[in-house]
Amino acid sequence: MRVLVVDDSKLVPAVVRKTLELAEIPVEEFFEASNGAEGIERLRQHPVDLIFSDIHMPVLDGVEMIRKLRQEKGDRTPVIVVSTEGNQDKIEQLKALGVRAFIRKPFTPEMIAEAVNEAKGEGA
Amino acid sequence: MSAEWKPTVEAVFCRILQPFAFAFGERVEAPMFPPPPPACLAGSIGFRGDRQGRLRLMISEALALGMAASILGTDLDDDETHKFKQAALMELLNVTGGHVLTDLYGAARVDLGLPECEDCDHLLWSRAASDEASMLFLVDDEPVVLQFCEDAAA
Repeated sequence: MRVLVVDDSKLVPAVVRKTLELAEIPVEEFFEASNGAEGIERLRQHPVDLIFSDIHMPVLDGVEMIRKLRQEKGDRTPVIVVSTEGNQDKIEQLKALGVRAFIRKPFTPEMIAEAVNEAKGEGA
Repeated sequence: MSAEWKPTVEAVFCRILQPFAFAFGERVEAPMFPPPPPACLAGSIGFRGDRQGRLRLMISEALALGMAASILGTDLDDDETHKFKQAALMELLNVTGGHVLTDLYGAARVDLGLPECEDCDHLLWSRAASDEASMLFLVDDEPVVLQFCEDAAA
């Protein structure tokens, strides 16, 4: 599986990578971006099978990145939103954009595995 | 602002530490709080919306390194651990802040900002630690000062 992690924290991509390993989910290629605009650019260069994205980020936040990907670029890559977000408005906006999988930090390998399965069902 | 937030913030902070960094935290009173650590880090995260304010944490460098090592699975003296010590503090602010807002304000429309690192020296640490509004913790035996303030105008 090819994975992109979009998060302004330098720590989170490393944590996601380690947790995917612990969940025994094989990753062939792993890409990182520190905000939504970088995330869109990375995807243009390197298509992936799954995106992990934060919500609150500088430059372009997670909601806007997913909106641009879905509505402007027609990109249907499954997204797992990884956040501390409890704001129901934001969650509803993301659900309206087709996001099915949400993980609230801090997370476990079991939560990651469940979210990957949910995300794979996106658009099904 | 009254201190009604203190039990909730204490519960959230202690609850987060274990899954976040396999750490154990307990609140302590001022007489039990150790002197300022040799090196410390400070950071804060703001929130705005129906309520607005800021959560601030001051932690020892040793704790920042311990958390980074624990999260990354690295050794304390690895370059990687040192590289990520500030990121560990900022992520702790992010995670604690998100859960505090949900537990304190429920469905209110409150957005968390981005975490920031701040300067920290012994004077600043001592002032914060002696402020009655601060909460003092020992996390894996390392001192932590937590401040939470809600803007009066919110």
